[in-house]
Amino acid sequence: MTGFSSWAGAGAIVVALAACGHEQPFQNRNAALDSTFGGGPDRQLTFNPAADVRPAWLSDGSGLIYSYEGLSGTVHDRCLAILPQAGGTRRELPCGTSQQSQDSVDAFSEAAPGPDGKLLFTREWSLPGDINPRRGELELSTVSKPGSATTVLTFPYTATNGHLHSGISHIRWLSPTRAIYLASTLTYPRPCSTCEADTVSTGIELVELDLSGATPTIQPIPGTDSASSVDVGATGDEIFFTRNGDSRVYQMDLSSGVSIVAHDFGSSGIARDVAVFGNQLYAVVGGHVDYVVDPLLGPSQLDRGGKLFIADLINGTDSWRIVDSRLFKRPVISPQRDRLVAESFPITVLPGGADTVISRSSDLWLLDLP
Amino acid sequence: MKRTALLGLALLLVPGPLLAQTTGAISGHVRNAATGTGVALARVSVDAGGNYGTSDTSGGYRIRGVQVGWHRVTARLIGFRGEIRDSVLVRSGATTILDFSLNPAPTVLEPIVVRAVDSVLDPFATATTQRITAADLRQLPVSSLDEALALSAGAVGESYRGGRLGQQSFILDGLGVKNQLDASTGPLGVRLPPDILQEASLTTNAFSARYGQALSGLINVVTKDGGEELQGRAAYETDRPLGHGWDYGLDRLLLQVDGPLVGKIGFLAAFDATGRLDADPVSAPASGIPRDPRDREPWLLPHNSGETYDFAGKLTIPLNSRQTLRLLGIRSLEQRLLFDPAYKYDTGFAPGQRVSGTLLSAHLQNTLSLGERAMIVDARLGYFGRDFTRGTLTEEADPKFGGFTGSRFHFVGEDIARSRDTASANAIIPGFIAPQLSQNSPWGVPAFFLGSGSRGDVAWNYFRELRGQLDVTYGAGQNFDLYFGGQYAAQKVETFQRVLGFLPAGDSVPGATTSAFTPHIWSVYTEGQARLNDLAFTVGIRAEHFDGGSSVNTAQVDNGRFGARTTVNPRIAVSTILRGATLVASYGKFSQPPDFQYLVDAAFDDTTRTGRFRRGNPDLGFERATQFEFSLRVRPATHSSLRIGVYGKRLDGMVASVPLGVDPDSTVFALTDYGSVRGLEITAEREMVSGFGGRIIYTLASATATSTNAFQLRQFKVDPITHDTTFPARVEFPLDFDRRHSLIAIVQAQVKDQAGPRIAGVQPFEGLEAAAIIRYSSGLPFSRTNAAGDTIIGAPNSARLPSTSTVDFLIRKPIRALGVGSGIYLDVRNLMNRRNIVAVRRDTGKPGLDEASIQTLASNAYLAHPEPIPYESPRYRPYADLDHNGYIEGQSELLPLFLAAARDFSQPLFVYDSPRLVRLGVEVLF
Repeated sequence: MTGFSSWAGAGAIVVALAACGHEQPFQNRNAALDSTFGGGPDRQLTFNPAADVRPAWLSDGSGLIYSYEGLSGTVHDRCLAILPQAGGTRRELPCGTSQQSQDSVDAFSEAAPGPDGKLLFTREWSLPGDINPRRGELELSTVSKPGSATTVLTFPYTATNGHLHSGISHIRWLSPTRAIYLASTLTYPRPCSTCEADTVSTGIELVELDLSGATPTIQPIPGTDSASSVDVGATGDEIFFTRNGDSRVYQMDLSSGVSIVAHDFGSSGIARDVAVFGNQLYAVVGGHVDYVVDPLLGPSQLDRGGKLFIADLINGTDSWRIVDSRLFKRPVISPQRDRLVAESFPITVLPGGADTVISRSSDLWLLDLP
Repeated sequence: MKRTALLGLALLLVPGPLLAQTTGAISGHVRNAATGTGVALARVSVDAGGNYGTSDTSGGYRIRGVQVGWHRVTARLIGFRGEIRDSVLVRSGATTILDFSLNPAPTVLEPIVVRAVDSVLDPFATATTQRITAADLRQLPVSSLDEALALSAGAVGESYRGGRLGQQSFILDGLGVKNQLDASTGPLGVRLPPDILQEASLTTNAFSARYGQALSGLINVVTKDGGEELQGRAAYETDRPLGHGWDYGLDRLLLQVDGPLVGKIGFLAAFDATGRLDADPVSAPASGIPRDPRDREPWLLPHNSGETYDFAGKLTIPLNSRQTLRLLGIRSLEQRLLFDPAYKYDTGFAPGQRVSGTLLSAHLQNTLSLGERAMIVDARLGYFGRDFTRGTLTEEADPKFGGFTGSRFHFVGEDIARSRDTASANAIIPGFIAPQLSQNSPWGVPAFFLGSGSRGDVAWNYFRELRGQLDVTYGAGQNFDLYFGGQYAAQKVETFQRVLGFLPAGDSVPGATTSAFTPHIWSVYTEGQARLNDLAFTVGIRAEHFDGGSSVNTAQVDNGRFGARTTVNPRIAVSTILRGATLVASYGKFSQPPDFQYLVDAAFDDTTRTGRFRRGNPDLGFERATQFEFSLRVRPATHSSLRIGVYGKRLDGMVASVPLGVDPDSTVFALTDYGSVRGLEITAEREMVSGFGGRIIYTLASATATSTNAFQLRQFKVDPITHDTTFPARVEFPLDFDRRHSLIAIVQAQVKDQAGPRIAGVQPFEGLEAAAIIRYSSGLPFSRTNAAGDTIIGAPNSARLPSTSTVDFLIRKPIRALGVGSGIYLDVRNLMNRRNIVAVRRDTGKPGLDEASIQTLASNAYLAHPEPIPYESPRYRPYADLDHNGYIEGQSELLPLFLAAARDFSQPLFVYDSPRLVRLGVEVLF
C-alpha cells in the first residue's frame, strides 16, 4: 500500500478499532427465580426446613420481607430476606452477623416496611444455652439499605406505666413518623422437669412509638391491656386489636381512646393475628391455642397456629379458609388486596387419631383472595 | 606485531571505559591529510562547542562526558579546512573512536556520516554490557524496557545471574533510583514510557565503582534530550478486533513529542496509558466442567484488569557553552484488580492494588578545562517517592473504556493505614464485613467460594528518598583517568499492615503492624583507569554505608542504634587484545542494603514465604557478593561477533526467612545463607546487513545456596538402619532462579524500499520489517512438600519445573503518505500458544490436585454442610433438584455440586504462563 489510500486505510483501522466493543469477563449466570414452585390458589412460598416467620408486604406490593432461619452450622441465626411477590428466590438482606459472633444466635425479625421506604425491625441475640435473648433492639433503617440501621430503643425496658416490656411484635406504621407495636412478656415454661423450655410470648399492651423528634418516644396506649395482636385501619387513627383468651376483635379510635367490638368469632375460639383491609377482617382463630393464668408466671397464651378466618365487618358474618392439614399464624394482606401470606404449620394426625403433631417450623404460604 | 603495536598506540590514546552512566566519550586522532602526521592543537568540539578537546602533539584527542545519543563533531584548526562529522553515535560508558584528516585549506566540508564504531573489540569496555536502544524497542516484539532487558544473557525475568528480584540497581540518567523498601517483592513504581528512551543497558559483571546498591546487575537508562526540530510519535495498540479467545481487552496509547521550546531549551514529553481487562492472562486449560464460565474456551479472568498511566517530561537547558541543566519528571500510576479464586463469583470483594511513583531529578553538567586537561563535574539531585496500597476497594471498580476506570482506587481502612493508627486498626476496621460462603457460584453449595465480605486485609507502605550525587571525571593525562564522587540519600519509610480487619486483633488475629523510620545511605568512590601497552587496568574502590534508622534505648546496643553498617568494595578489571580477540578479566565486590521491609514486622498472608506473621530484624546488614569473570570477544567476520563469558559469584549475607522457634507460622529474617553462582554466557550476533540480522544467546548457569541452620527445624535425615534422626548442619540447595539452560534466538529481517513483487501497481512488501524471538529455558527449581504442606521433601528446591519455550513475532509495515510517516504492526507473543508451566503445587508436584484429593475436598465440604437447600434459597439450582421436590437434599443431589465446586475452585490458573497474545498497532510519526 502506498499513497493516500494506505494512509486512509490505516485511519480506517483506527476508527474501526475504536468502534469495537470489548469482550467482557464472564458474568454471574445464576438467574433468580421469580415464581412459586407449584401452582394453585394456595401455594407454598418457602421450603426452608427451618422456620420462615413474620411476613410483611412491601408498601408497593412488589415483594415480601420476612425472617428466615439459617441452616448452616450449629447456630441458626434468623435473618431478613425479601421474596418476589409471586415467590421465587429470596434476596437476603445484610444480617449483621459476623465471624466474631459466630457462636451467638442473632435474630432479625418483625420487619415492618413503612412509608418512604422506612423499615422497622427487631434484632435480638443470645448465646448458646441461653433460654432468653440477652438483648433486643428495635431498629430503624430503610428497605434499600437495611444494613445502615439506627437503634430506636432497646428491650427489655420498663414502660412509663411500670410494665416490663420484654418483647416487641406486630409493628405497624400509623403515619410516616408514628408506629404502633405490641409489647409482650416472655415466659419459658417447661412441660416437664427434663423437658426443653419453650418460649411463650404473651402480649401485655399496645405501645405507640413517635419518631418525629430527635429522640424517639413511646407511650403505652390505655385500654389495650392483654392485647395479643394489632393492625391499622383505613386511617392512621384507627386500629384493630385482639386480646389474650378473647374471641373478639376490638376497634379503637386512637384520638378519643374509645374502643368497640368490631367482630366476635364466638365459639370458633380465641382470635389473634388480626389483619384488616377495608371491610374485610382476617384473623387466626381457634386451632392450637391455650390461654392460662399461671399463679407464678401470670397469664400466658401458647399459640401453635389456628384456622384462618375472614369476617365481613358490614354484615358481621365470618367463615374460615380451608387449607388441608395446616394451621396458620400472622396473615398479612397484600396492598392490592388480592393475596394473603401467612406462616403455615403442617399438622400430622397420627394413625388412629391418637395424637396430632404440629411442626415447630413454619413455611410461608400464599393464598389468593376472592 | 605491527597490529599489536597499532593497538598499543590506540590504547595510549583511547580513554578508558566510562562505565554505566549517561555519558560516553569521543576519542581519536587528528591528522594532516597530506602528510598523515598528527596535528597538534586542533580543536574538536561536540555540537554547539561547549564540550571540546584539543589534540596533543601526536594528534590524539579525547572528549569526555558526551551525552549519550547522536552528535555533530567538528574538528578545526587555523590553516586547515575544518571537518564536520554528523550522526556520531555515543553510547553510555563507551568510547566512540573518531579520526579526522584535515586538508590544509580553510573550507568547511558538507556533513558526512561517521563510520561505525567497533564496540566488540573495544578493549576498554570491561563491563559485560548488553544494550537496548529505542530502535530495538520498536523493532522487536517487546513493549517495555523490562521485557527488552529480559533478552539479555543471564537474565531470568528480572533476576540476573542467579540473584533474586531486587538485587539489581536502576540508574536513570546517571541517578540511582531504587525501591529500597520491597524491591524483592514489589515493582519500582515508576515506568519509563518507551519513547523517551535513548538507550538502556544491562551490566552484569564488575561494573564501575561509581555505582552501588546492587549485587546482580546494573540497569542504566539514558533518556533523550529534546531535538532541534519538533518531532514525535503517536501510537495505538489493541487486541479488540481479534474476537473470542484472542481479545484480552487491551488498549494502549502512546504519545511522545520533543523539540525546541524557547531559545536553545529542548523539551521532551511522553505519555503511555495501557489498560487491559485481563492484565495477567493465563493459558490454563479449560476445567471441563459444564457451567464453569471457563469451560468453553480459555477465557479472561474476572476482576483481573489493570491500567497504567505513565507521564514523563524533560527539559534540557544549556546555561552556557559548558554548562547544561537537565530537569526530568516522571509520574506513574498502576492500578490492578487482583483475581482471587475464592472470590471468583463475588468479585466486588476481591482485592485491588495501587502503586504510584514519582521521580524528579535535576542534573547539572559542568565541563571544566584545566589547561590541556579536562574535568567534568556532574551534580545531581533527585526525589523518588513510591506509594503502595493493597486491600479491598471502597467501591467496585467501574471500567469506563476497556480496562480504564479513569478514577483513583480507594481502599477500606486506607485512612487508618496512612495515619498508622494502630489503636483504631486493632479494632474492627469500619467498612470490613466478615466473608461468608458465596451463594453466587453455579454450584450454589456453601463451599470454597467466598462472598458478602472481603478477607479484611489492608497493606500500605510509602517510601521516599532525597538523593544528592556528585561525580567528577578528571582526565589526568593520556594514560590515566580518574573518577571520584559520592552520594547521600535520606530516606523515609512508613508501613502498615492489617489482616482480618473485620475482627478485632487478639487471640488468633495478629495485630496491626506499622513502622516509620528514616534510613540513610551514603557512599564514596574513586576509580582510576590506566593504560600500559596492550593492557588496560581499571581499579576502583567504593565505600557504602547504610543506617536503617532503627533506634532503641538500651545499653546492649552500641550507640543505641541498630543496623548501621559500612562496607568497602574493591573492583578491578584487566583487558587486552590477543590475536584479534579482546580478553577481559574482572573482579569485584558488591554490597547492597537489604530490603527495608525485612527490618520491620509483617502481618500478611504471603504465600511465597512462611506464615501470616513475620518478625522483622532491624539489625540486618548488607547483602554481599564477590564476582570474577573472564570474557572473550571476537569478530569472526566483518558483520558478526561472538562473546563468551564465564563467571563465578559468591553471595554472602543473604536474607532468609527463618523459623522462629518451633512454630512454623512464625519466622524472623536473618542473614544466614551464602551461595554461589557459576555460569557461561555465549552471545553470537550478526548485524543487520542485507536485510537480515540476528542474535543467539545461550546461558548455562548454576546457582546454589548453602545454609548452615536456616532449615534445621525442617530438614532431617533418618538413618535407615539405626533409625536415628540427624539434623545436618549444612544444607546446599539451588537458589530460586537457578535456571540451568537458557537459549534465546532473535531474528530480524527487513525488505528494502522499492523491493518485492509489484501487485496491481503496489509493492506490498516494500519496507516490511519482521522480527522473531525464540526462547527455550530449562525449568526453575521448587520445593516439594508432603500432602499436609508442612514438611519439605528432600532438600529445598530439589525438584524442577518443566522447561518452557515461546516464539514471539512482530511484523511492521511502514507507510508514508501526505508527507507523514506512519505504520501498522502486528505483535504476537507466544505465537504457538504453548502452555508453559511456571509453577506447580508443592504437595503434588503438578499444576493441580489429583482426582482423589478433589474428591476428598468435596466430601469434607459436604460433611460440613449437609443441610438441604430449599427452593427459595439463592443457593437453589433447579438443575440439581433431581426429584423436583423443591429441595436439593441428600448426598445424591448435593455431593455432585460440592464436587463440581471443588473442581472449579482448585483448578490451576496462575501456574501457567501467558497464552498467545496479539496486538495490532497503528502509529504516526511526525
